[in-house]
Amino acid sequence: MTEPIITVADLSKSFTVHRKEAGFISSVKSLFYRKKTVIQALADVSLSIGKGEIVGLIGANGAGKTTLVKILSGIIHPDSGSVKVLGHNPWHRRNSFRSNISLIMGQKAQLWWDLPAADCFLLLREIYRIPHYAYAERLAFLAETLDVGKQLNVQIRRLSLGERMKMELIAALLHNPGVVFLDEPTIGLDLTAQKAIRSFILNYRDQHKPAMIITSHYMEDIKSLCERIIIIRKGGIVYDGSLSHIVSDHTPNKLIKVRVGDTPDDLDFSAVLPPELGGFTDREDKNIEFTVPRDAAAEAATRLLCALPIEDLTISEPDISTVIESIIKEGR
Amino acid sequence: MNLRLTLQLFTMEIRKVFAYRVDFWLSFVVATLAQFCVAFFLWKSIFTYKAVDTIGNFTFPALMFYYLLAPVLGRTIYSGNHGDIAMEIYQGSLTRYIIYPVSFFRYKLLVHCANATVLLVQLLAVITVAVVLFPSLTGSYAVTPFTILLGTVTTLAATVLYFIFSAWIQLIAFWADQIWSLSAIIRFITSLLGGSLLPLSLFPESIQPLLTWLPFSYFVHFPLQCFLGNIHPDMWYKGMCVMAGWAAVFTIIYACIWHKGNHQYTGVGI
Repeated sequence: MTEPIITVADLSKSFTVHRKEAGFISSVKSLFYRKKTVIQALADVSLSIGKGEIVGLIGANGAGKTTLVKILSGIIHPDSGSVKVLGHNPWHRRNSFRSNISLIMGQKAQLWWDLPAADCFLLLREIYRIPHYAYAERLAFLAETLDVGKQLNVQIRRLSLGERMKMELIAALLHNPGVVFLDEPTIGLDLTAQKAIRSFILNYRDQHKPAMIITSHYMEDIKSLCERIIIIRKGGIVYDGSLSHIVSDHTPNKLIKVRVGDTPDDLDFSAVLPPELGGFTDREDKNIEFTVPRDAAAEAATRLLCALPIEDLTISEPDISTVIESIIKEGR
Repeated sequence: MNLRLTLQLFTMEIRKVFAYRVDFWLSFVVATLAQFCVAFFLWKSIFTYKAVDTIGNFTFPALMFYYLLAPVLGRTIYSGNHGDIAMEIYQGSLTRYIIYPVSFFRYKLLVHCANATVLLVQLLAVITVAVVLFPSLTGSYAVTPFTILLGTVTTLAATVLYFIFSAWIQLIAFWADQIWSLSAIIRFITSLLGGSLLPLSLFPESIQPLLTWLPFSYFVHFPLQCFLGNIHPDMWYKGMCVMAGWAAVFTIIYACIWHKGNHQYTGVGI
C-alpha cells in the first residue's frame, strides 16, 4: 500500500435511540416516558487506506458503514478511538481538512436546488478558493468527460437523476480533493448512467490519485471500481482485503459444471466422484454440477472426464456476490 | 469568509429570490396590501366605534402609515427565516455545511441578510410611494432622506440581531428534532413585543421602560421609529448599544449550544 492517507484505530461509536411501541396508547405514554436503547454502530474498527486506493465499504443496512464514513468526513464525533485523515482529526473540522475532502451522497442532493449548476459551481469556486484559470479548466474537463456541458445552465431541480448525479460529482471534484467519500454514487441510475459514472471515477482516480471510499449495495459498482473491499458486520470489520482474493480466501470449494452425453437417469454419482473429492450438487437433464474441494478440482475433473461421456466441462469459482453475501450474513 | 465568497453568496441568494417571480410579486404586493387592508378595516371600526380622532398619539392616517410599514419591516427582519436552521438539522442538510470549508453561522447570516436586502428594497419602495403619492398618511411624521438612511442602517442591524436571536433557539433542534411549536411561540412573542402587531406606545406605560431593555423592541419598533423620524441621535446611539449588547449575548449562547449540539448531530438522511 502507498502512504496511508486514512488511518483508523480502535474506533467505536454508539447511538442512543428512542423506542416506541405501535399504537395510540403507546403514543400517549411516549409523551411522558420513552424507552432508550443503545446501538453499537461501530466497535473497535481499525483500518488504513493509502493514496490512490479505491476501497469498497460493504455491509448490510445498519452494519455501520455510513457511520464510519460520517466519522471519517467529520460529520459526527466518535465515542473512542483515533482517526487521522490527511493528517487531521476530522471532527475538528479545520478548513485545511475540509478543503481537501468531498462527500458525494447518492440519496441526498447537496447542490442548491433552485439554481443552475453553473451558479452552484461558481459559489463552490469561492468556497474552495479555486483560482479562476484552474476552475475554468477543471469545469470544462469534468463537464466534457461527463457529457453535461449543455445542462450547466439548467436549474438543478429540472435535471434528470443521472444528470444531477453527474453535477454532484463535478461539484465534489472541482477542488481536487485528496479524499473522496462516495455514498451510493449510482443509486437509482439507469445502466448507461451507472457505467458512465463508474468509468469516470476510475479515470479520475488514475489521473488524480485520491483515496476513495465507496459504499454501495450494487455489486457491479464494487466489482468495477474496487480492488480492495472492507466488509462490515454489526459494527466490526469481518473482511479487509483484496476483492480478487475474497473468493479463494473464504470458499473452500470450486464448481465443476459438465454437460454429458447419454447417461442413465439413475446414475450413481458417488461412484464416479468419491465423497472426498466433493459431491454432486444438481442435475438438470444433461447439465450436472459438482462442488469439489479447491485443491482437488483438477483431479475431480480428470475423474469425471474418464468416467462420463463429457461433451463440455467448466471449472468455476462460486459467484463473488454470493460469497460476499454469505460473509455479510454469517460473518465468515 | 472572504469578500468574493461573501459577494457570490449574497448575489446567489438574491438570484434565488428572483428565480420565482410569481412568488416574488405575490409576497411583495399581495402580502403588503392584504396586511394593510386588515389593519385598515380593523382600526377604522375602532376609531368609528370609539368616535375619537386619536388613539394613543396616533391619528388614523398616522396609524395606517405605521401599519403600512410595520408588516413589510417585520418581513424584512425575519427574511423568510421560518426555522431554516432547525430544518437543516432535522433533515440532515447541515451535513453540507460541515463538509464545506465555510462557517455555518456566517453562511446562514449572509443568506438571511441577502434576503433581507431584497425585502428592504421593497420597504423603501413602499415608503417612497407612500410619501410621494399619499402625503396625508405621512403628514404627522418627519420622514426625511436622513431618517430613511437611519432607518435603513438600523433595519440591517436589526436583521442581524434577529438572525442571531433566532439561530440559537433553532439549535435546540439538535436535541428536540422538531421545534416548530417553539418557533411559532417565539415568533408570536417577537411580533407582539417587537411592535409588529401593535405599536409599543399603545402598551401600558408601566412596562414600556422594560421593553426598551428587551431585545424584542429592536426587531421592528426601533427601526420603524427611525424611519418615522421619532428617534433622536442620542436615543439611536443608546438603542444601537443595547442591540450590540444583545447580539454579543446571543452570539455567546449560540456558540455554546452549537458546540454541545454538534456532539448530538447524527447526520440523518445519508
